[in-house]
Amino acid sequence: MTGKVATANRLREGDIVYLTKEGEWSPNLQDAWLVVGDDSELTTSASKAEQMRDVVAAYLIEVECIDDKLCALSQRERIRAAGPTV
Amino acid sequence: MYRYDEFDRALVLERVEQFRGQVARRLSGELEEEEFKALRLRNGLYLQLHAYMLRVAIPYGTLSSQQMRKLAHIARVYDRDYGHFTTRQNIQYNWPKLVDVPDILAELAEVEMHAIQTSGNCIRNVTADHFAGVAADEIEDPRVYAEIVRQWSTLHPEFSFLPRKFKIAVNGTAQDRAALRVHDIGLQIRRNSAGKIGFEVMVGGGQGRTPYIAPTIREFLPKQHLLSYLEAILRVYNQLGRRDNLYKARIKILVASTGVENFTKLVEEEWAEIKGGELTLPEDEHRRILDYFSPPQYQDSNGASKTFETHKTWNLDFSRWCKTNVVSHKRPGFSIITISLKPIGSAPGDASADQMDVIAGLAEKFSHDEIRVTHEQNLVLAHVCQSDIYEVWEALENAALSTPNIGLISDMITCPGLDYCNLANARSIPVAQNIAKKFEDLDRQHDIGELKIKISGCINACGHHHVGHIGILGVDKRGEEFYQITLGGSGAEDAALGDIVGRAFGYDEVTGAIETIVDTYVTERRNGERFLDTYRRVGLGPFKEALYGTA
Ligand code: HEM
Ligand code: SF4
Repeated sequence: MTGKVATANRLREGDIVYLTKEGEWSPNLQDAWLVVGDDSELTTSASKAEQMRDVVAAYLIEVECIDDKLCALSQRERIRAAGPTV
Repeated sequence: MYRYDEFDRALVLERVEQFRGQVARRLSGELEEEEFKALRLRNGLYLQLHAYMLRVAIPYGTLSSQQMRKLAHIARVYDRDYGHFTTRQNIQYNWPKLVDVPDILAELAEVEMHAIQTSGNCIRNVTADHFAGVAADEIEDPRVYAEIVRQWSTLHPEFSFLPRKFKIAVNGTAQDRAALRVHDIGLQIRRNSAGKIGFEVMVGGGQGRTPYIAPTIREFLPKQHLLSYLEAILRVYNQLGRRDNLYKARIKILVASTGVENFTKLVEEEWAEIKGGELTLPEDEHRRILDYFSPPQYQDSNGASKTFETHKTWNLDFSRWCKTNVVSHKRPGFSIITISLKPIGSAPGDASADQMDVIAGLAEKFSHDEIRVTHEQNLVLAHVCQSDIYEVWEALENAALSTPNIGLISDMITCPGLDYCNLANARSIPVAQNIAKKFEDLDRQHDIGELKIKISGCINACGHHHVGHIGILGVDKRGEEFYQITLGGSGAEDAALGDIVGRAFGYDEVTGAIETIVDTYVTERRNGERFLDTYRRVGLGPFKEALYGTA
């Protein structure tokens, strides 16, 4: 199953974070709120968090859910989620 | 060594406090990200793939031990214990927190460093040969002119909103170690037949998506006219350079579209109006800056070169390192040491905080308190007495800094690529690591000889792939990493852009492809030819055939 999650960087620190269903931002992709289909609510929550200055540079990414594990589709987002490969 | 004068110190401190206020206003919501972004970029702060990234200027790539210790301290306290030395003779920190950046900048200011001018459409920090002032065959010290240009251009009202960023390099020896022909302006110091000193002026080089080798627009510019001539070039650019399209805004595009002859004519006309005016370099000002760069007081040591030679015969590892990493100095009995930041399997250009401290200590004790950064992402101790070289080597050996590979295949330029960079298509660092491991055997590296591999993770070409003897460019094919290989480029005095060899290779294929290319060279080469010479003689044919089975 593929869907979308919202990601951003924490404004104060810069750390990569993912939006959870509870409206928190988690450093762990596995905590992310996976939305399949209409993603307008995800977009709204993400931009609200930007306005609140919790995060910066928010956007949606495509992820795949395999055996209950979320995995980003693009190599770029996989590296973002896991950290540098070197 | 150069020290900031009072004006600069006040300016830098003022900027730090300004930025502190801007960060506070961003956090309190008075500033939107759009507004803040422009401000943080002017202070060298980017938002990268994983985190913020701070780019700190190292003017003409020279650091004191105290400054190096400060860089180590910042890595340790505010970052993840390392920094990355880049091809633009800057250092980048990959993990600073926004809230810490004002403090980092204040700490840098304590040692007369800053991050100003490392971004934005202004004249970027001016670079020079990393062997400036010590190279045996130097005409004049290029740093003097780099500094003159820096003082003139810093915050020059007319040139702080150019169509695009602008990069200048200066070189003072026959060997071009400053990559002049891939800069917006390259200045080669020359002596004319009358014995006068001046510059060959090259304009419109660059890399990125439309690479150009800069043509020469003036064979000889008497040195007192440097600034008026640069001003003329910049005025023409400011008037005619395209501002409508980011990719067409560099001066290289203007020079190419106007034609070299026409462009030269426009510059000369503009120059005729200002030549001999207030921009003429006054002799006393020239002297004043020259004094900043006066050579250190060398203490000769009796029998220095004899001790050096003895150690070389005793110790094979030491003698191998000397062969690649030690070169001769203006002053007999002294040498220039290049410290490789390319240990096999590490990220090219990275140095840990502890390594920075070791190097600072060595510079203080053995090299007149001075460290230089090369555009090939290595560090230099420029004034080491030959009787001390062995001791320096031992200390480097203990800090994993004695890799004997300068100029060899494992001494690659590599951009951060997809492991760190927001704009990347593909990873660069692990590609370099895999190649280095493949060619780990030092005898093999020496047999291959001078071979410069340069790797960029996207077409912006931060890794100089266009001018690699072998260039590797990361491209994206439907979300997968691929690598396009070019052959025959050079960023040196024999500058050229590489030719694309054929279809791109996948991540797992690229190391094998490089080995095929190197083996083909070894088969084709004639008595002592470098890779580049063989390529220029035989062309793409044999390499294509070996890689793809077609001639
Ligand atoms: C990781 C963050 C970086 C980003 C986002 C970045 C971005 C860019 C961009 C967009 C350009 C092209 C500008 C143009 O063509 O007008 C460029 C050029 C360049 N970058 Fe970077 N860069 C980064 C890191 C580096 C590093 C680490 C180095 C040194 C190893 C470097 C060295 C250069 C050089 C030498 C050029 C000039 C190429 C030319 O002449 O056009 N950059 N960079
Ligand atoms: S070449 Fe591309 S991938 Fe590499 S650092 Fe520059 S912008 Fe990033």
